[in-house]
Amino acid sequence: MRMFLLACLAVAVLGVLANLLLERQFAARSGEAFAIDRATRLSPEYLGDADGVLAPDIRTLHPPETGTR
Amino acid sequence: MRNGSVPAGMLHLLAALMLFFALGAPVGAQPAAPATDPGVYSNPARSPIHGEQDLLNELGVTAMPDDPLRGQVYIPDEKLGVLVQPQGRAWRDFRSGINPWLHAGLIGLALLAVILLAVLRGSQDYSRDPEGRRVARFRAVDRFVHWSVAVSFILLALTGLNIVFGRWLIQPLIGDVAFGQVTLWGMIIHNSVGYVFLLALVAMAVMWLQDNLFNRVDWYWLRRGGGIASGEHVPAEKFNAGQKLIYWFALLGGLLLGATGILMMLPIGEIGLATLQWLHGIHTVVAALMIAMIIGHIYLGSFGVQGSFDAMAKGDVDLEWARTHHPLWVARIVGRRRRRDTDGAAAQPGE
Repeated sequence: MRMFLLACLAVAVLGVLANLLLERQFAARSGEAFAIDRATRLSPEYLGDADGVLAPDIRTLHPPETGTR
Repeated sequence: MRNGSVPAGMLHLLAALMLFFALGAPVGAQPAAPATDPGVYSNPARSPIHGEQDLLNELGVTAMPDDPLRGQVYIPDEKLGVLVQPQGRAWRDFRSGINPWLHAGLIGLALLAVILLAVLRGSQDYSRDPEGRRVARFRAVDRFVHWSVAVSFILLALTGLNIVFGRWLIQPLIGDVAFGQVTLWGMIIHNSVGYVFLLALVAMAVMWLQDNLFNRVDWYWLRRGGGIASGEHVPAEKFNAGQKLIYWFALLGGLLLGATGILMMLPIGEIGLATLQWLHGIHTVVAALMIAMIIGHIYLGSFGVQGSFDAMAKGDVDLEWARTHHPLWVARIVGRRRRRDTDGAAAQPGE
């Protein structure tokens, strides 16, 4: 059963590597997409306020760093 | 503090309690705030819409259309204008209703088949080679890759089944917080080990492709039902037709699982909600079928047919076992060895 134990080790090592190299890339892309989406929603164009008059108030009410909208 | 007097601390507590009730009284006298009904769609420009039927009446349709129901928005993110996505309801019904039953049914059927086989046929014993001769069946690399596929698949199956059944089976046992942690780690393991499974599966498929191509012998094996009902040993090559079917099903199913799994990891904006729901449906149905199939494979490769587990545990099998279950493969090996010996003897200079 040496090959079984070796396979367990390989799955663990490769799984961690896959997590670091690939899975987190997807997560980062998802996070990036979410951040872009959030930034878009907080933009003056999104708020129908191209002049940017309302945007600062909205940003104060819903600061993006809190994650609330 | 003097004897017989009320302690100063008690007086402070009494005063605080009186103040609390005095302030609380008018608050308690206020009417309760109206409960928020999630089914009510408020719109300051028109009268409220109560529930789905009112929404349909307002829109002038009799039934919920198949396509998403869209409103009008003046923002760049147009997907926020979707009021109702009917496919989402179908997906939710499938995920919460049909899918767990599908998994339970398929896995239950596989377990039932295994139990029936074990009860009716018992563990299939074999006669050992009297001289204890053994024949090499799998190389170390074959076993390593096979076990990598097996270990990663079991991890994926367990973490996947937790998503399907965990809320009913595990959450009541370990509580909300622990279940949340288990599921979070399960998801990380599932998403990471999936790549290892895919890699090992492709490696195994390439290594064993030649021995898993179907030929005339396999049709004979299938027509005889592999001898499962009759108990006879139907001739087979290195892999019998049943093993070949498992190979192809595991390969195609595994590739489908890998493809749908990776696509599901993409940000939702890139693939769209409807596509994501389809991907999940395909992923989970194929996974259920594969888990059911692998239950049978594990049984037949271990307890069901004695001696077969040696092939993956040690790499070699008893010669008589090989002659019983895979006679055409043994004949090929023996023939090759004889030819090699004959060629070697002919190549040696005469003395």
